Amino acid sequence: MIVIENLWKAYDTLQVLKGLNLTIENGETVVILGRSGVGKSVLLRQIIGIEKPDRGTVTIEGKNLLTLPRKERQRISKQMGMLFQGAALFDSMNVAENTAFYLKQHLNLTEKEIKKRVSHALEMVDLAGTEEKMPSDLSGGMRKRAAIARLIVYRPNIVLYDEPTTGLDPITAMQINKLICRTQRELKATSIVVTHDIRSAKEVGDKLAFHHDGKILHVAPKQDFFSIQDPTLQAFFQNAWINERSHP
Amino acid sequence: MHALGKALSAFGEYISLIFQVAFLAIKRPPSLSLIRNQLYEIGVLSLPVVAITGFSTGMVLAAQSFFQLSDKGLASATGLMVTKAMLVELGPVLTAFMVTGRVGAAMCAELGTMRVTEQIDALKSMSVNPLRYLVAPRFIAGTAMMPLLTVFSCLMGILGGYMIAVGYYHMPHNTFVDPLPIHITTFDFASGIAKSFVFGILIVTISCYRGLTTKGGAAGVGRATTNSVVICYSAILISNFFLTVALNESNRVLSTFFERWF
Repeated sequence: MIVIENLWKAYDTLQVLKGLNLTIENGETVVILGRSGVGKSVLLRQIIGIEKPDRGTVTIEGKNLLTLPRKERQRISKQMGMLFQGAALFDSMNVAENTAFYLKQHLNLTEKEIKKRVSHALEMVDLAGTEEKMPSDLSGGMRKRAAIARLIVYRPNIVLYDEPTTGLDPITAMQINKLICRTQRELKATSIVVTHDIRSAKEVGDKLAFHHDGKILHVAPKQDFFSIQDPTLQAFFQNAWINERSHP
Repeated sequence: MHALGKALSAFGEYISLIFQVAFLAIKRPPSLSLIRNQLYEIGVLSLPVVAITGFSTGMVLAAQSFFQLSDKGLASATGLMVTKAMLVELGPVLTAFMVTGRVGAAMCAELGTMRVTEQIDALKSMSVNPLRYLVAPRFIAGTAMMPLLTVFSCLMGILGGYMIAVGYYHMPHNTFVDPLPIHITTFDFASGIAKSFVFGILIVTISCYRGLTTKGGAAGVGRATTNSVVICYSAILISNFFLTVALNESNRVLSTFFERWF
């Protein structure tokens, strides 16, 4: 279970997170919706430990990550993975090397075993045969899929997705959504997906949360979320639908 | 006041980076393959540019020395001038400049691009310390290769000077070579090596620090790279002065000590 309590984060004078609270049960997929720039990605960066919050706690497996000794924190961090908005594949490595990176860094596996796991991960994301390609030779959707392969190859317990469908055409976005669902099924991981794409949220989430002004305003199961009568949330839906209709 | 505070904070971060990287390089060294790649990148690939710089500087030094000193009857000092200048000053400084331009700029641009495209965050998300994985191998390779490149540059400079003095100005071989063992001391060699070692640390840490703190997309990478090269050049020149004074002074003190007690 992930418990986030009273999380505060500011950059210079800009206060991004203002006492945010959120609880995610094991094996659950929570989608955090919200307008661009409200701090959804910032929240993910605090959870995975790339940045430290100014105040508050992030508790995983009952342990506050921010006060844990380095080794214990690393043990928990190694069970987490994140898909970045721009995929963040390593430019200097080909697809196979990118996918094998975590295995080579942290697991004592033979080359044969690594190759086998890399091939399996790439097959899962329909990228078999692209092992030797460099990230610069891939399309946006392929890069996202390669980044998902890099995640699933080490089977993390907690997976964070930062805007997985942003910048992709609707068909590729749908493929990525399906892939996320498949990944969830196979890994049985606890997942947090940050997006402003309502269609994607409906497809991949068990629960939806609405992030507004540095806080989570609403959290509800998918089937109940859209009937919440809150003017801010309804205005977000309305704008999001209009935007989707004008850019289908 | 705000800008001064920011500059001091950045300087503090930079000093902290040096200590962290040095600690990691000693206590938890990165894998040998990463170090080997950087040794090749920094050392072997810099050989042509260092050779050209050293050789041409040696030739110019010899030509100028011979031309300026011959009418005063001091042309025989040409070999000594070229060798001293190359070993003590020009070898380390020019090699550092060349390595900054070729390696430092590339390091800053590479790490800066990794920073703005979230590749460094991806490393952190996979529990890989970017300082250990990216900076420590460059630090080890840079500090190891700079003295070797400097020695190579000095040799090329002396060779260039010899070719001009002996080959072009017809100075006798012995006139060029004979004063060298008498007047070139171990200290001359050691001070050049000490300088190049410090320059190696400066180039790698400044370039990596600017790369790791890059902000603002492609334009930010360009700005950071230019900035890192300018800072490196300035740091090399300023530190060269202080190193020269400190090394000369320590040599004087040590010589007095040894003369007095041994």
